[in-house]
Amino acid sequence: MSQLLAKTENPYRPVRAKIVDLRDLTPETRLFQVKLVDPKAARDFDYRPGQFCQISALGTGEAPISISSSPTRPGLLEFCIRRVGRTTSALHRLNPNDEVGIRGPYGNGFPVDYMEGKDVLIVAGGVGLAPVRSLLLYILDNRDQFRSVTLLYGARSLEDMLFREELKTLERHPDLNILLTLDSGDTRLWPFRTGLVTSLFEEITVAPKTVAAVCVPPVAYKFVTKGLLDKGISGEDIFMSLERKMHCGIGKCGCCAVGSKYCCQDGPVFTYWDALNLPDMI
Amino acid sequence: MKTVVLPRENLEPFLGRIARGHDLIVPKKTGNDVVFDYYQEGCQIALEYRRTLLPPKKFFLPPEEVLFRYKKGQGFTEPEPEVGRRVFFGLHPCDIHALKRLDYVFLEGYVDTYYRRRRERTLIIGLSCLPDDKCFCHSMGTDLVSDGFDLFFTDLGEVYLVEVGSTSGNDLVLTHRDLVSEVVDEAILKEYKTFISTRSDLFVQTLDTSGLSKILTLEWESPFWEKVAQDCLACGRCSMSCPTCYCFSIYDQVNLDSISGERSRSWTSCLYKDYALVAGGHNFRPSRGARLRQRLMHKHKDFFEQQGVSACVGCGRCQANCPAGIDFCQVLTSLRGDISESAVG
Amino acid sequence: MSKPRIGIYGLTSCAGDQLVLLNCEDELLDVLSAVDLRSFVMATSQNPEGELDVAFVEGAVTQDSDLELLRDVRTRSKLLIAIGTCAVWGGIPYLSGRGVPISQHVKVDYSLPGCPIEKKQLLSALSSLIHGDLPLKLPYPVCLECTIRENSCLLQAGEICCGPLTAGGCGARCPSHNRPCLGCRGPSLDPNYQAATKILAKHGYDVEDVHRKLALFSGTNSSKEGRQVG
Repeated sequence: MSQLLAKTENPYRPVRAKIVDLRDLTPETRLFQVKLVDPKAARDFDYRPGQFCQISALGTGEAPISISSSPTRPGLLEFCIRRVGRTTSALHRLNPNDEVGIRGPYGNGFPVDYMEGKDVLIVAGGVGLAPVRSLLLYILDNRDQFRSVTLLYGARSLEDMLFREELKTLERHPDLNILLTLDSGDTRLWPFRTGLVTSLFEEITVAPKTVAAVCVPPVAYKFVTKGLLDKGISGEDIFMSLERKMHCGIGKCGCCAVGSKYCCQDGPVFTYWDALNLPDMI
Repeated sequence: MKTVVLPRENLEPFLGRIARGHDLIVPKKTGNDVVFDYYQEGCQIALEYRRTLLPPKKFFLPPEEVLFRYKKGQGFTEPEPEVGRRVFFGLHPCDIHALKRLDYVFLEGYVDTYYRRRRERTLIIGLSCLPDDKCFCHSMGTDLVSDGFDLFFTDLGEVYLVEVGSTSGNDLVLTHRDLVSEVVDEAILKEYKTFISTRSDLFVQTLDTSGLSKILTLEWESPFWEKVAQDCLACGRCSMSCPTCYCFSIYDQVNLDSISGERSRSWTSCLYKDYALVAGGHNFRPSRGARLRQRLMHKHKDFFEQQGVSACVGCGRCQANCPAGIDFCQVLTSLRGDISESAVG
Repeated sequence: MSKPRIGIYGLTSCAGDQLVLLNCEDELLDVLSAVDLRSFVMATSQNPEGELDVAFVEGAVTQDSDLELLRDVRTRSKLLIAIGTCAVWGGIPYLSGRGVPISQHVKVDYSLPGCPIEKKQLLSALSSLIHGDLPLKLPYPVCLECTIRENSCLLQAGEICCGPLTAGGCGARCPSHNRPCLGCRGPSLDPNYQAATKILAKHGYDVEDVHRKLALFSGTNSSKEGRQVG
């Protein structure tokens, strides 16, 4: 067949980005601040909270990583990268001024337009704070567009909690309701709560038009969504950011298939309604 | 559609001339098997083959390919794209349908530039076939094909009826007009009709696809998946030989100098244990049954829900090549309840 | 980046895996210039030993001296890589009832199976290790490469071919020469011994005979799974 489609760029080819700063958030998780090398690309790079990028440690591989920064604060991109495999370990060996490859942004992200004018409940567990932090910052920068904003965040222990200092500051923010909890560990110095993130549901009341944004470990979705449904939130208004194995990020390689959806393209944000229709999703 | 006639004895000269100006791919005999391969002068073209082991996809999505090479601080270099026109002769209708299915995946949304380049430089010449006991294309609606080719040859014994499917196909016919006849007479039409009805009577294998995607959804929890999986070697032979299985993995290989290397992709299979394993150690499909189910669900339900057609084109390769002899039609039929589940395996 | 300190050791084995490295004639100079070779008794008498970044160990543990060397190497090495099926699974020495894979005694960070190992994989592993990565694991059995080469399936033809049970990476050497896979690379990630036995029983083979063949190179893994069927 001769004439198929207009020419486009090679979607597998990353763009170069430079590490501006690195900061350890937990023993395994490091915040990467990066800047695209090409100034025009850096200027034009736009994204939605909840989208992700494929980040390359060249020679080792590529990993899908949620964007933790907010598009309302352009210039630098932030990624929380947990050292769990070959590629993320290689990324952790890099230093400021080293280069990474970036492709993206990919995926649907959180429906921020839909969330406008509504109460927003954000639920995160462990490293799951990474994608919803983008949403939280986005909402803060457009605070008058949203009704009440609540963040429920749980981590295994104090040292596993991401953005501890930032959260402590935000906790005092008059327009935010932040509830933090630790599963266990030494909580003597811990001024907040202990118990799983689902135990925080008892402490909140949920307004009728509430939308939820959730990112927790794979095993926790069933419990969290049940808690949210019990609170009266509609299944269509529970938005979950899911994790899957991904290679291409652009709906070609098939690896992230969840039923008839691709996590990389149709997700990574799915509603509870999607989960009811797609077995194996949560 | 424009149709012309090519006398049987003119086929070899026709292909031979094409081979002078193009890279010609043909079904070639090697031992007892037939494989798609580049034409060489004097090679034995299998005109009446049943099925190749690997489908045409290998010429569009090769089993392994370098996506780019890199050198630190110097960016990325793609491999020199292959150039020149290719003519791919001898695809059966099912395989042409399969390529059209792959087009959905690789040319819609983000365009896979590697696939597109190969697809754009390749003319497709289809060839009619007769089914064996593994073929069930008539059940999948892929036994005949009306587009997706530049030329399509139907073997009517003395002559080939040639359907012209594109201007490029027409150019080929016009360039070699001395070998073809524009006269499609009554006798040839009659022979064509006889061929169609004779062929359709030859199918042995069938698959009832009515409501199949819905039935599969309802049978998600069936213990039958694990039962079938007890016989599955998870060797991946069905995926490799499937004309529409397109899953691949991407990986880097660094050079000894540590500053340069390449990124490649290669075929993989959803039957492999690590397929849905994420870096944190969570496996979204931990059992072999869940992986086997994924393969059949994707073919007959998920792809159907995405694209409105099944990903299965009924070529029969999966069941012809399964070392365990798993008959996927029988598996699906028993999930429908049309035969007993104990009859399978 | 400083060069990684490397040691290459042999326990009870034929030394065939170490030989693969020596046979990398075109690449050997590049390898040697990229690493700080601290020990390779088979190739040199200059072996300063000491602390290592990566140790490659070939062979099974069959005697006290093997264990002594292995434990010493493990204490001195950040990473320990088992090379060859004897080191990874016990291999042929396992059949004697005395050889065991090195992972039964020490922590193994990465396994490179094969009898012998494949040159391409060794170089790929070395490049990754020099770069600071553990090498990639190959998740597929021999059948993937065999199918890609469009070989006729020998198992389907009724031969005892271990391809579906055996770790890929060899390019399906034996089946590509029309010889059934002997399983010399040891078990794949997900070997289904029961299914293979069932297929071969259908072809008329004696189940015990099949087990012996399937177990030839799979060492510790065969006793756990292969013989459960009956």
